[in-house]
Amino acid sequence: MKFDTLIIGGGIAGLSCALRCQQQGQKTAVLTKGQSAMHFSSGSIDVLAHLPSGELVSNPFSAITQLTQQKPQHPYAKIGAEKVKKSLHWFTEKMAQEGLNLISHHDASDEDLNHVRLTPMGLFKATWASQDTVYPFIQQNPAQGLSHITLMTFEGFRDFQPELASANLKALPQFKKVEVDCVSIEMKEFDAFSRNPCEFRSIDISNILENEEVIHSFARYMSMLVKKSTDIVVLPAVFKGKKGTQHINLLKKLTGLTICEMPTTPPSLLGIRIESALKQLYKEAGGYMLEGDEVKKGEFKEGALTGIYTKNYKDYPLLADNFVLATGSFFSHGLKANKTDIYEGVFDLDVEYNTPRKQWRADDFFPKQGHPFLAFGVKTDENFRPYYKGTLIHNLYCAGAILAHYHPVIEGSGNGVAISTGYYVAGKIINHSERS
Amino acid sequence: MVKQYETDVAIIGGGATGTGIMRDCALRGIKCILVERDDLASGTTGRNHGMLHSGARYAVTDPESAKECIQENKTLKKIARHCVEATSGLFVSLPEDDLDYQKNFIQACGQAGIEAEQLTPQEALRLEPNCNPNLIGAVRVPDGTIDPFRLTSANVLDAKEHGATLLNHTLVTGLIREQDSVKGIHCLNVLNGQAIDIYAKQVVNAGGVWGQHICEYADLSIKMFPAKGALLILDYRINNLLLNRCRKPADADILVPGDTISLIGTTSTKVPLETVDDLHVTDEEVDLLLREGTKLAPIMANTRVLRAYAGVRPLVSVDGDTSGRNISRGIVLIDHEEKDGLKGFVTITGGKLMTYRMMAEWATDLVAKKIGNSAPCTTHTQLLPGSELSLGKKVPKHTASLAKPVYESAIYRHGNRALNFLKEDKQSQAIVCECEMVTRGEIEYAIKDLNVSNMIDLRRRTRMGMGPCQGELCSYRAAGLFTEYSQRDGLQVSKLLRHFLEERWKGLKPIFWGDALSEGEFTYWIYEDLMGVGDIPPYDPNDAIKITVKQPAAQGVKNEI
Repeated sequence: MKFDTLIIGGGIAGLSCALRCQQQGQKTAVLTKGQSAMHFSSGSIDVLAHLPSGELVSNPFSAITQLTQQKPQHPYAKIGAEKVKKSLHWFTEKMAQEGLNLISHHDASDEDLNHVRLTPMGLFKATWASQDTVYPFIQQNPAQGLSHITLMTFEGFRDFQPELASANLKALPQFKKVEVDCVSIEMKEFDAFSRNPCEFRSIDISNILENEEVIHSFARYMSMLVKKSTDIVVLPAVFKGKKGTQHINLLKKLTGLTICEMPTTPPSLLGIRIESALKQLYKEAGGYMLEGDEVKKGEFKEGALTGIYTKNYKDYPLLADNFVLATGSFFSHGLKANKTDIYEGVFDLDVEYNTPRKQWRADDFFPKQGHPFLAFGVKTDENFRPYYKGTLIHNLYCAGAILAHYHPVIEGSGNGVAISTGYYVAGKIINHSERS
Repeated sequence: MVKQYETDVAIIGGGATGTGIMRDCALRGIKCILVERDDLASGTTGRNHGMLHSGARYAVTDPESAKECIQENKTLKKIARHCVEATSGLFVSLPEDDLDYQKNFIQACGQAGIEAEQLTPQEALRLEPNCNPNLIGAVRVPDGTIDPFRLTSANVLDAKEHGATLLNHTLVTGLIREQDSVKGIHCLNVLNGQAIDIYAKQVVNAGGVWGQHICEYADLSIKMFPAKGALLILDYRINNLLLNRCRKPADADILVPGDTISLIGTTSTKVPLETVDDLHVTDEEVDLLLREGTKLAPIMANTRVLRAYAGVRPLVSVDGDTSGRNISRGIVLIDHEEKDGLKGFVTITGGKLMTYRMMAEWATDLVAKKIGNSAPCTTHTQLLPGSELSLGKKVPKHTASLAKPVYESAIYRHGNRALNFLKEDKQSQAIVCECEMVTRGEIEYAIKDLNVSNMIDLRRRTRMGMGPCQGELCSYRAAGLFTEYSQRDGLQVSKLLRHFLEERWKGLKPIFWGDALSEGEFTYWIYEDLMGVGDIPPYDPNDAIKITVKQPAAQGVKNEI
């Protein structure tokens, strides 16, 4: 099998790259092993929340310039602030085409602003764009415009604990005058879960909420329990895909309440919703998905990757003019660690990391500066092309968490780097093939 | 205001020995209060192999200890049935080991009264397929495992049911002295800063390696020589029988199965007393444990390491010897009235988890005599709470709706006391910790009935967060239940959650590679990126103390120190 571009990894970086390649006329394939990191992500798009100095960012795109001054090796520095912005706006446009609206705040001169999303701990995290079913709190004063919030869960559901969230929320000075209610709904439709007490996760609830009749009954419970004076009702994310969004809207209509979703412990239905939308767009554009497969070996010749051998295709190589490696970080097995070394999991590409092992992590679990291992990754040139035993591989590109020199969690830049690097390397591949 | 108590015996230290004395006193009708600065089994008791020694390990080098072990082995199999697994153990000779040692070993076991059955390598491999196939000989002995957390908790439960009082998270700040007598102890509740005075006829120092400080309050010289022992927990149970090397006891030569995991240990390094509250397992110790452990069970080379931890053995030197040459691993019971002319004060130290009950009996005999109580010791015949059913009989399953793994795990951990929380209602059956099958009902029971003050205490009582995921999902869930069932508000519980995650992290750091690294990254993403837990102020166990020292109520305490 021969493709123009073959992308290894089906997370947000790989799929963004694939979508752009395919829409630009490349014959594209995405090879994925299993679930991507989207399955436990917030489902919001973080671009930049903190500078390395610790300073909180309000305008993410203009802060990228400051960031790249402080960290010249950062992936954003290779792309440039303008192109980062362009790639993320491209992403939100694509998502909107698939009916998934990502909302961001803007200042008076229409510059993009960060907002904050509520976490299951009742704390706030800065982000650039959230799905329109998530309430975008104002960063400077999250309580602005709110006098009454209701946190709602389902009786027996373990992955959202409103009492814990409300305590932290109420402790914020801005929320002193905001009434915070905790409501727990017990629905007979969920009785089936008593059969196996493990089966009461968001995804199980979402299966039952696919039935429209259940939404009507849900609305009745909600109307009984939620005070009419509440400004917003925050629910854990328990609605699946496109239909889920429609059902939230139906619920809003039936109750007259402003209902918002909140991402909680995995599986993250908000993250999965983005992944589904991306896949849908990509497939509509004619892209190939090679799912449940994994690369066994790559064949390198004169500084180029000529083909890969996979678990499913065995001796039959998959060929492509260009390849993209978007296999994620450690939990996605893009990067691996043995007792002494960090290595790249597919081709054993050259990796940048600290030694000895002690220096892979910080002493505290929640360190201010983040853990060093999160900034480890494949060594790349200015076009995100990696090296194999010191030699540049000129038709292989890297995108997303496999890259070195950024701290996705501490910076709040995970999805921003994934999308922009995916988009950027797609551009490089397209330009290159147009030239030749 | 200083809160005051009056009792017969005040016991310092909530390890196996202290709680054993607490139970022994209570069963003899002696009023007692136990104070523990942290939590039950949070010191040496909870930081070892959890091995139910047959005594075989000591048969050649220390016959006295070997005899004590086999006696207590038989007793604990009866009285602490739900804390014990009588797995039996193998003493394995590898090609580099001397078979002459095996001969001596079998003979020494016989002399100590320990059943020792010589097996061919083939027979040994049939019993324990993961044992090194190159073995040249094996001896089977009645070793087993014992869960120190369950054991201490059961002792406390029984003591409380016989009128005793437990004050955990309570620090001893001084002795109440009148001339040549100790009349009690000054304490401080470290959670709320409450100063407490306990007046007692006798004070028993069962503080283990920390007991030296207690003696210093009375200007008595006992010198502890803490020896650090590091251990690794493996991801699953790779052996069903204990594996020992059949040679002179050395580093990393015991592999113990326990619940859902296996443990390899231990190293032995002398450490200064000042460091025992902040022990770190070094990379060198990790490497040594893996290297030696792989010789016992080669499968270990490919097994994920779940976490690493270290404890301190309370080796003690008496009679002013500070060189450490006269160190004793045996039981040391000191009547300070006889030795130092200080009435009302007794120290029990040395020994090992295995002989805790015997140590408790000796100490209780001494204080009972001093206060004129002549009731006999019954701790070797009376069954611990949870073990009351007769041997081999199954705990009746009252509730048909209970899932089998939930039921079996609960009975495994709590014996028949599990019936206190195994209920029909589906809410109490919701699983909080999926690795260890800990239900909401079990957590409610632990918080309300088993002296649980924070999430680490909860882990010790239930195993929550101890499985392969190391608290990935259950930490948040359990924190929610804490707001429901404890007296703490959401803000305090948020700190406890952060504290718990930091505590789990401690055990991950020394073995942070492979799956431990990827799981650690996952947990970090969930709790920092998704939840923002890093914004919660860190829990400082000294918060309460700092506040109190400023208040006049604690002045008395300060003077005493």
